[in-house]
Amino acid sequence: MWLRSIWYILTLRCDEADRLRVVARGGQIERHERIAERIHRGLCAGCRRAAKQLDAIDRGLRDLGGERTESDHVAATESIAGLEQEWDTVRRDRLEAALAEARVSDTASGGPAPDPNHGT
Amino acid sequence: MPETQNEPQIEAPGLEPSLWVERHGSVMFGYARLRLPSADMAEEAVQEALVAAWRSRDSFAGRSSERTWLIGILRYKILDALRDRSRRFGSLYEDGDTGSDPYESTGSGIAPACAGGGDWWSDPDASSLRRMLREGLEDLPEPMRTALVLREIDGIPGKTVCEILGVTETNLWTMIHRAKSRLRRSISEKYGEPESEQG
Repeated sequence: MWLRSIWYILTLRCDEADRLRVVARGGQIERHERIAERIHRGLCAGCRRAAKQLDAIDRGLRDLGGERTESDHVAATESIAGLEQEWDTVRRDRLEAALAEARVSDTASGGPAPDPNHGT
Repeated sequence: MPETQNEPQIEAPGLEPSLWVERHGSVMFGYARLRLPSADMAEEAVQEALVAAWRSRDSFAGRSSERTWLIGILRYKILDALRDRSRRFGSLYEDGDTGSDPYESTGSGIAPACAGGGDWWSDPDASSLRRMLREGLEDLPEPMRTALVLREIDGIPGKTVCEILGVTETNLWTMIHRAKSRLRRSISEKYGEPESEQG
């Protein structure tokens, strides 16, 4: 068993080390894999750089999630230009109409129904 | 903004439903679009969220802003839509269909990210990093983007994401790995130096 682990450590390739770095953040790797990745990173300048890039990406993604404040939601969504292009007046009008319909039918039937899921 | 003759007069304090679409529609749509695979699904989720918000308007306690409250409701609708999708179509992302990746190993054993990419990562300020990531996220294909956003931006636990998307943990982490590799690659191509082969 330990021979296999040593063999794994010695023969670990960069692409597998890269995968291990990502998966390790979800706690999904074995001890010998973690050791192998660390040793490989110590020996490979490219993988050290790749690990730092991954750190920066993780930091940025966490930052996009932020504290779930209003401004973070805007930052994470509104500024994605390519996705914004799919928002148009047709969609807006459909949403206006659907909401207006719900408001009219709800008012006619006598008021709001409590929704236990959404009490913020 | 269309108004009806039956416009309700009584509304919860702090809420202005007649202005919801105008004020928050595009942001809600963008939020949903980032997490759902099509614009139509995003629109449907926003519509369901707005109607649910209207129906539960009495539960708005004013502890958060109107937009945060609406986004909170939208979040449930997005997860419901994703669950429903994987229930109806089965494990859509199984059978290795985790999104093809042209940046996958070339067989040399050298990870693409290992091959250079400038120094954009060395000390980026928060706003430039966010900008670079937003651009990269836009280019990510489904289902990588949904998996990455739910797990890494929204902070939903891996097991819950697997249940929502109908995938195994192995597939989830494969998608996240590929998504991050693509992000790294696209940022390096755009903001880094020309790449040189290294090992």
